This record gives sequence, C-alpha cells and structure tokens, in this order.
Amino acid sequence: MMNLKKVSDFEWKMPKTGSMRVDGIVYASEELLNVIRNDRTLEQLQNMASLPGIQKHAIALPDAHQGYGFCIGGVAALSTKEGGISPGGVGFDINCGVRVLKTNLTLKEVSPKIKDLLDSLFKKIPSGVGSEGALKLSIDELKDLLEKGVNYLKQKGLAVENDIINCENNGCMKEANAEKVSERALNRGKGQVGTLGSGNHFLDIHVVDEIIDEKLCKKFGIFKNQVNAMIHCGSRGLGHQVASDYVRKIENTFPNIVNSLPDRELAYAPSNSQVAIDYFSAMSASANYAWANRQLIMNNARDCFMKVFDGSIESLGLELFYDVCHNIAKIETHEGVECFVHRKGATKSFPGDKVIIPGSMGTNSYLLVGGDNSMSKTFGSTAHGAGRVMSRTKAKKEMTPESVMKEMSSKGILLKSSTRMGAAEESEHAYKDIEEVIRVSKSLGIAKPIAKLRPVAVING
Amino acid sequence: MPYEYLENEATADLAIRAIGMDLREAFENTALALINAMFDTDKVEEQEIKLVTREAKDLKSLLYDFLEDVLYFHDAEGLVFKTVSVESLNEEEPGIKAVFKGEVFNPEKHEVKNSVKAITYFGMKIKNTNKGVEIELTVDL
Repeated sequence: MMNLKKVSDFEWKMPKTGSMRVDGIVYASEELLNVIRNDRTLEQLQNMASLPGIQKHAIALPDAHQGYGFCIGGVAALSTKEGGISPGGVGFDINCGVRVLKTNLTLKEVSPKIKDLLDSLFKKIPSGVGSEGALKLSIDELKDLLEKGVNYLKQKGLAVENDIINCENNGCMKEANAEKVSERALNRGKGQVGTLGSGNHFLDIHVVDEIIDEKLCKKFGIFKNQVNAMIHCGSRGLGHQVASDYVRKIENTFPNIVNSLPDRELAYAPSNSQVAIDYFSAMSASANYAWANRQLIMNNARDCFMKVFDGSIESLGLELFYDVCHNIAKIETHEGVECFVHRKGATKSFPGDKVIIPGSMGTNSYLLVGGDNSMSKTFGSTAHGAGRVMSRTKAKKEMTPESVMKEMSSKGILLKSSTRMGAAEESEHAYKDIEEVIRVSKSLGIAKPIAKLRPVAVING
Repeated sequence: MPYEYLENEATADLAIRAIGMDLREAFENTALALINAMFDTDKVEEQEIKLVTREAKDLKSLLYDFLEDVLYFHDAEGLVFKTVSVESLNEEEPGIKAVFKGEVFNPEKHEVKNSVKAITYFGMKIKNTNKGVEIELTVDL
C-alpha cells in the first residue's frame, strides 16, 4: 500500500521517494481516499511527480480516479523552461467540459411541458455521426473554426456576444494553429460539430434547489426554482485523434525519453521543442473545436426552449452562465514560474472564477466560484465531477438499464439515453459521492459552492 | 469467446483481452472485441469494404494504429463494421493488411453500445501463452 502522511483532514502527502522529483498531494477526505486507494490513481500520481520541471507537488483532487498516464482529477504544473507538455496530462478528450444555459423559467412553468422539451432536445441534439443537428463543414471551414472557436459560430449567427464573454478563455485559445492538426483528425471532426457523443456525456435539465451564496447568485442571475440546462461534452473524434497523433510524434521524436518512462502514456515533449509547440497549437485548436461544439449544442437547445415555451432568447432569458473546460493544458505563471499547467479532469478555479461541478446521473450538481486557497494549494484548480469508482463493465453487471430507469423515475427524473446500456454504466452507484467532493473543495477553500442544482430530466449521450 | 471484457482493470475505460492461435488471429479477435464493444453487430450488413494497410515501428504501435482505423472510419465516414480479416501480418518489419466489412451507421437500425474515444497503450500486452497469442489493452471511453 502506498505510503501517505496525513497533513490535515483533507490533505495527504505522498513523500518524495525514488524517481519522484516532488511530493504528491491527495486532497480528499478519508472516505474519498479509501475509494481512491482502490485503483491505480496513487501509482499514477507518483509517476506524475517524476516528470521533469514539475513544480511544487503533483496533485490528485477529491474526485481522482485511474486514467492512463496521468490520473483523472490530476493537476501537474511543468515549467515551460525545464519541463514539457504531455498529451496524457490533458487527456484524449481535449477540452472536455461543461456549460450551463440559464433560463428565466421556474420549475412550475416548465413541469407541464417537460416531456415535450426533453423529446425536442433528444431529437435536435444528436449523439453521434450522421445526425441532423450537426454542422456540415468543409475542411477549410473547419480549419477556420479551429482557429476562431466560438467566434466562428458568432460570424455564422450561431452565437451571441454574451456567449463569448461568458465562456472560459472567451471560447478561443489564440495559440491554435489548424495546420498542426492532421488530415485524419480533420476528417474525424468535420461532421461532428454539434454532437454530444456518448458515454458520460450528457445534456441535463436542472432546477436550482438551493441558493448557497445569495449575493453571488443574484449577481450571476441564478434564483431558487430556476430551470437551466447543463451540457457536458468535448472535442469528439478530432481531439481524440490529435491526442493519439502527438503521443506517436513524441515517441518517434524522443524515443529515449519515452523509453525511460514507467508508462508510455506519460510521454511528454520537452519545453521549447518543436513538437511541444506543435502539440500546444493543435491542442488549442481542439479546445476551440470543443467550445464551438458545446456552443452549437447550446444553440440547438435554445431553439428547443424557444419552440416549446414560445419565446425568444431575451424573453426566456436563455443566457450562458459559464463554460468550463476540464481537460486542458494552459500556460500560466505560478509563484513566478511560467508553466504548462496540466488539468486532467480538473477545473480552473482562480479566486472568483465561475466553476461548474456536475454530479453523476441523477445526483445534484453545483455552481461554485474559485476559492482563495486555490492558488497556493492547487495551481488554481478544483475537482471536475464525482469521479468514477466502478468500471463500466462492472456497473453493467450490477445494474440493468431497467433498474436505473426505475430508480431515476422514483426520484422524479426523466431519462432518455441514446444507448440502452449507457444508463446502467452511468448510474450514480458507479461514481463517488458528489456531496463529499464539494465538501472537500469547500473545506480546503479551493472552490466555494454558490448554488445546488437538482436534475429533473437527463439525456445520456 | 476469443475475447472478453475485464472488470476493475480500468475504472473509466474498457479493458479487453483477446486470444488467437497466432498473432494474426489475435489481432483479428482484438479488433472484433473492439467492434462488438462499440455496436450490436447483429444487424450490420457487409455492404462496404475497407482495405487497411499499416506499417509501424513496433508491434504495439501497429496494433494501436490498426484498431484506431475502426474509430477513424466511424467518425470520418460513418461506417460500422461487422467483420475483420487480417490478410497478412509481418512481425519482423511490423506491417499489416486487413479487410474490414460493414455498412454506413443508421441510428434507426444499429444499436450503439459504447462510444470509444481512443485506443491507449495503457496496460497493453502482446504475449505468447500455451493457448496462443494473448492481447490485452484498454480503450478510452
């Protein structure tokens, strides 16, 4: 068993040993830590801590679980001078993220039409290829989108100014270069803008169940019993291909580095190498794709609200609350050192930043703001969700789609799933307790909840 | 079954173990495991054929690329496969020629089981056993 030292109720230190260059830190309650110990998360944290140029400590957040290379719910800041950038530290689904679309409707107003709304959303928002709601783009148009992000959609009348203002990075990483994205990746992505994908991706209808911080909720236009929509998805096949392409490029360019690593998926391109610059440019392009993807899905969702509730964007208050990415690397300066901050299954949470942490299917989600301690503890990051505890294969053995349907309906939650087994795999029992994840974030002061959201209808991609 | 899906190996992902009499058959069965993890292939008809030729610097990279083609053809051309046949596989200078057969995905007709994001090297093993060649790998869901 991995040796961890208790620092406080929510902080556990993995002291530097062997090839580790810094300590590992697990931010979790004892309850969550016991779950984290069950898979290879801690071994992966140890591997992250051995990467060159890593600053301060390698971090596992309360929702951490086993990934490949880096753990999910992991943060590592590698110096842009002596470190590097690792596709495995970002994840295959580049800029997988969440956004919340507000409405000015209350649950009382929505309830009588909730079924129509869900049917309309299910029809309009496709999960995969060959679907109607997706944008059909030529390769040149796609390249334009990759460099402009949400701005591209604004030019096409598919986004409004506030959609850009209320998106992390304003919906565009300027470092994007579409020429660094392979033809194969472009081909995988050209028919998928506006598609949800499947697995853990979803579109939920929530009601604001509890206002935790009245002042901030008022400022952000969040009120009790308000209905809103949450969208969770990423960069689809394009981002996945970019990740695969660059793992391979790094292996071919730096075989000695890769051979010296305990895990091939930890492959990194040393700072200032051409491959590092190229990957960062391609990753940024993929991030822009993901923001555009979530924007188009939200725009389609707006159409559904407008049709079902017979109103306009303005009259129904269909405004973007915020959009966060939780699989990304960014260049940031922390304590005077410029780093590639890898957030893999982690959300940027600088003090005052808006943060969204979705629960698992059928459980609460939270709107938060970044806490004052996030800069000193987590390079300005917090958790990204509940985090799995049970493999999908096991979840399917223990739960049937019917039992999950029944459980959801007993909670009064409508559920539509594009795949029959998807619902079973995503059952809340396959995840950690979101309430505990939020409690840890709050107690550590890395993020502060401002409102609790309760699901009323779920579309599982 | 020439393949199985493993529990507890991968919390968020899907772990596959496939076996074949030789490397060629093991590759074939691994691809079948992947295809069947993605779709219910019962209703897939063999209307379109894709010939895949791949070369790589080592066997694991070759396996990765070969399997990635299943994901590529689905995303880029909307194809869902039913069968795969490895025509030739060179171990010395890693290279593969394979034929995939299937049709264009139709949501009315075909059932999606899992959306596989990527093949990974995580836990990838290609080894000789007394039962033949065994392959293990994890795909990202």
